[in-house]
Amino acid sequence: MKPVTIHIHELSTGYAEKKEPKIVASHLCATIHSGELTCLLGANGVGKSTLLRTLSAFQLPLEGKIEILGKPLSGYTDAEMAKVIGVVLTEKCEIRNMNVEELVGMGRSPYTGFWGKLSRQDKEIVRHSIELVKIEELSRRMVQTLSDGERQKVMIAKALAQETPIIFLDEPTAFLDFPSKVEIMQLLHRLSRETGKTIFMSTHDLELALQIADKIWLMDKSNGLTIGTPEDLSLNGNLSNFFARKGIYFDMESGLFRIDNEYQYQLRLSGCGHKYAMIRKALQRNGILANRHIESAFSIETNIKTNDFILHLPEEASLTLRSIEALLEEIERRKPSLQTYISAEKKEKTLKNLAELS
Amino acid sequence: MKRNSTLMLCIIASIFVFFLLNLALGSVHIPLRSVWNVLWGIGDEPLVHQNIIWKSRVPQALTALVAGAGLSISGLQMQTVFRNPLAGPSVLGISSGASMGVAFVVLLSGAIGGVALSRLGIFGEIALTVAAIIGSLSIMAIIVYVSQKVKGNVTLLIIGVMIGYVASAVIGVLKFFSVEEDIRAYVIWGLGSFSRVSGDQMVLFICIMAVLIPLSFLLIKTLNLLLLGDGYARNLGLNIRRARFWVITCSGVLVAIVTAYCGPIIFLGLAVPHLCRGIFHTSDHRILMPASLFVGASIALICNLIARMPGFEGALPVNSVTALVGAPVVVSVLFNKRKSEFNE
Repeated sequence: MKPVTIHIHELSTGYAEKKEPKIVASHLCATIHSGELTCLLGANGVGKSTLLRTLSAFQLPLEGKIEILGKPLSGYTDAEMAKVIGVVLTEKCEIRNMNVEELVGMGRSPYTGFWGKLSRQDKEIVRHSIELVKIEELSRRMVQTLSDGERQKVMIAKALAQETPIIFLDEPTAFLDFPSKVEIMQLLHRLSRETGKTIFMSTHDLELALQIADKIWLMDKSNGLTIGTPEDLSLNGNLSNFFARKGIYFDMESGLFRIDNEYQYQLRLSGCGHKYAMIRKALQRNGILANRHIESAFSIETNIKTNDFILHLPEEASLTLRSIEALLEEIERRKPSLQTYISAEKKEKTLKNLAELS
Repeated sequence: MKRNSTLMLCIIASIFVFFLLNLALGSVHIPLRSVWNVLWGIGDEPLVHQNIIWKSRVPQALTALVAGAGLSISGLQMQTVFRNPLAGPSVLGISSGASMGVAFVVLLSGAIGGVALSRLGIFGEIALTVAAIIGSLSIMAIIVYVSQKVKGNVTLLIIGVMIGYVASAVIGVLKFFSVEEDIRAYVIWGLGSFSRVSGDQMVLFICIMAVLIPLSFLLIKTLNLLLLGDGYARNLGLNIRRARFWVITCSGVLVAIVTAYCGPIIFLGLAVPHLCRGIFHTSDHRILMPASLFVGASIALICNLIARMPGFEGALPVNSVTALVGAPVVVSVLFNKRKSEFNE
């Protein structure tokens, strides 16, 4: 078993106000082992940031204990803390006229002397951190000219330069476009493997988190923390319960969440592979459930040889269509007649089938 | 790095040039050669020239130099600690505090003693200085106290501005009950001047500043960390509360002393840090602090020079000059900065 880096016991987080403390979350118990990438998931306002702030010693816990590397959090001085925990925050760093190298160099502050001058060794560490994050080509750029994703990488490099065994990130992927989110997540995953650092982050990017995290912390108002590997959590139903809401369903097969489009019609769809999946997806978006288990007079077939789609109609000759767009238009036009072919009885039957299948 | 040191040397050289020009130019023109001779005590220059240079122009130029440096450093510290480009020495109401102190002395002494303070000569001067220092330091104490209580920078800034308004209001009330002569004396003080300080007081002023300015350099690493924002600074081991305390105290004391001796000099403290960032393209206080010191000194000398140009005969208040010179400079620097950012 890997050594324990963070241990919390019966922790209550919140704000000590004059009259009575405002408790955000209570009775939290958890352990993080070194070298693990942990993602903290939970709805807005459930106390993810407060927990992170408490763990980074930005605010005091109301109750309970936090142990970092076997020593109580309160036992660390500011200066010691700076060498144990590095953070990447949601707040956007509004620095102007400072280049990336200098900013990453700020991560060395806990180690530098009175004037904050970087030694040769410090510079080497800064260079190495920039390399790890793969932003060498940005190192001379001014911070204000960077995109949000690039800036986030710079802050991660700063945390690396800080040479702490633990890195906390508060929603590092917020405000980023999808490719950047993926990139940051992959980066963190790679770092946790390459550097052996304990990485703990809060995020709303559920799908990405499920794919890269070693451990998932689900945070909830009523249940507190539920902890486990993404796979365990999906097997024991915790994940699906956690996010169970109208319009979201958990796809057991892929272990990921899907938007559950409600459907009015069903069609038989035959074929296989990527094309099959794409048509199914397009139809689903348009309120039509289509798969190979449904029996219907209307049906769609994918033609593997010619890359065409064939629409079989009950009383007409079949149509051959070149694209999904054309197919959708055709179906849209025939929606009224579509309805008449679907009997309520049939619908029920297929639903039953489906339930058995999944 | 090469570029920075060259620039820094140019700025230092400009201080010497403007210092000499300050000694040479004025209502009485003294050739540079004689200025040189008088300064080194060689040759026998006319006594009038010696007197003008030693009794009037040297103190004035030195005061301008030191005041400019002090205000600029103070402005830089304020802008960093509040992370607000509009912050400046006057923004926290510290100079209003000084004005209030002076207003109390000038306006009340007339009402109580029946003698306007402006007629008291040297005692009046000292009284004014002391009043200004008391006034500004007490306001500063309030601000520092508040800074330890509130979290947000903006909140603190607003509270500072509010305190400034209160001080102005008190001054308004005092003015209302004062005789015209005293009000005039107060208004003249409020215009700001580098020529008010003379003789022993000048020496004292320069000594105080010579201690305070190097002390403010001790905060360089703190200021650099504050640039990152409270969260990151704290994570890098900075005690935000203590940092704020020291930066505001340091900046406040600098403003208090300068204001006490020269009156409220506006604009320099706001403009010079921007100018320096524009010139050196950096936010690193290891460069910005000395840069602000030198650029501030240099610009204060220029302003003093302009205020004394033949034709104005010393009638032009320094404050009008600082704003007239400073505003266009800052605007042009900001415009250039935009361009260079786009080019990068």
